[in-house]
Amino acid sequence: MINLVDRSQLMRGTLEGCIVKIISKEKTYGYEIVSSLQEYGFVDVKEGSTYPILVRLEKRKIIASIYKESPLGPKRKYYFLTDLGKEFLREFEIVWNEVKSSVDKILEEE
Amino acid sequence: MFSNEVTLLEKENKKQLKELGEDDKLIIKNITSSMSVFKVNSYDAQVITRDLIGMAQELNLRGSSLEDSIGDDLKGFTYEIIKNSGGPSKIEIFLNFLSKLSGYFFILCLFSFFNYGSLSWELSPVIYLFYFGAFIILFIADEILAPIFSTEKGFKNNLQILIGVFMVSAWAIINRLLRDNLHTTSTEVNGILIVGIAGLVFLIVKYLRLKNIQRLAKDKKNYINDLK
Repeated sequence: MINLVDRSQLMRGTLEGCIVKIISKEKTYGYEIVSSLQEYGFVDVKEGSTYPILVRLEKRKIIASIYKESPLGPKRKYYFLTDLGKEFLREFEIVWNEVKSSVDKILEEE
Repeated sequence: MFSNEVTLLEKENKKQLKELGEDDKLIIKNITSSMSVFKVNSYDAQVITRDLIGMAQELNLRGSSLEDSIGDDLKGFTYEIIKNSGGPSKIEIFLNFLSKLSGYFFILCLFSFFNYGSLSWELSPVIYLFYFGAFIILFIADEILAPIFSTEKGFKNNLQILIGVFMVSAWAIINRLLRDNLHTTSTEVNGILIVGIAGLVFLIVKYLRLKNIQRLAKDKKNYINDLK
């Protein structure tokens, strides 16, 4: 397949919402977020692309963090959703469904 | 006495950084050098450093590295982090400038003391202009040029040193010409007075920085307790 579509550009906005959704399920850390995204099909995503998003989300107070013990060694930074984050997620789901619906309609048209 | 969230995090970061591999250390060093005092506040800079160390530790445990995770675009990664971090206030930039200025004059006096072998010495007044100008150039090289080039590869990475050396050399020539044209006479310099003033400014700035950091960290998580 020829890479005519800029996948990273297309993913940019949606990745933020997906990360918030993953964090909303339970307290989680960077590596686990990346693994989840990869399992859902975002195979190219690495910690290098998710960390700046986590910094941005934390700055906007959508998520917060705490250091907790890790069974593997040094303490890990666990992220969790704030009240503002819950509101953000609700809004993201509405906006995403609207966008998805519009794109689907255009693509499905004969 | 001057312990605060930033100094404690800085101490912890230095300790943890030592245990990382050379490649990861270099990447973290380049990223932190990019976080100029004009772009990221001191508290956020330490939190980001701590995060990067944690990321490297986690990746190492799984047989990977920061280089694998960030890829070739270190500059883009750093840009994104800086863009999403909290910027410094004007007072923080000013305090940083004053702190470096007092430290610079303190060291300068110590050098002069060892050079002249006494606590006072004869010096042309024009030389003060040179000292201050040289400090401004070094400050620009350190705080503006170094962050721009730190994530570049190869020759560009060392460009700020060359620009700094060139600027100081040019400044030295200009001063030499000025001194020759003005025919200034030497006056006695009281080293103790300069060291005293520099020391006092340093302590005042330290105290004001402490207050500023307490303000910065006020509504944020204090990770020190978590890390213990």
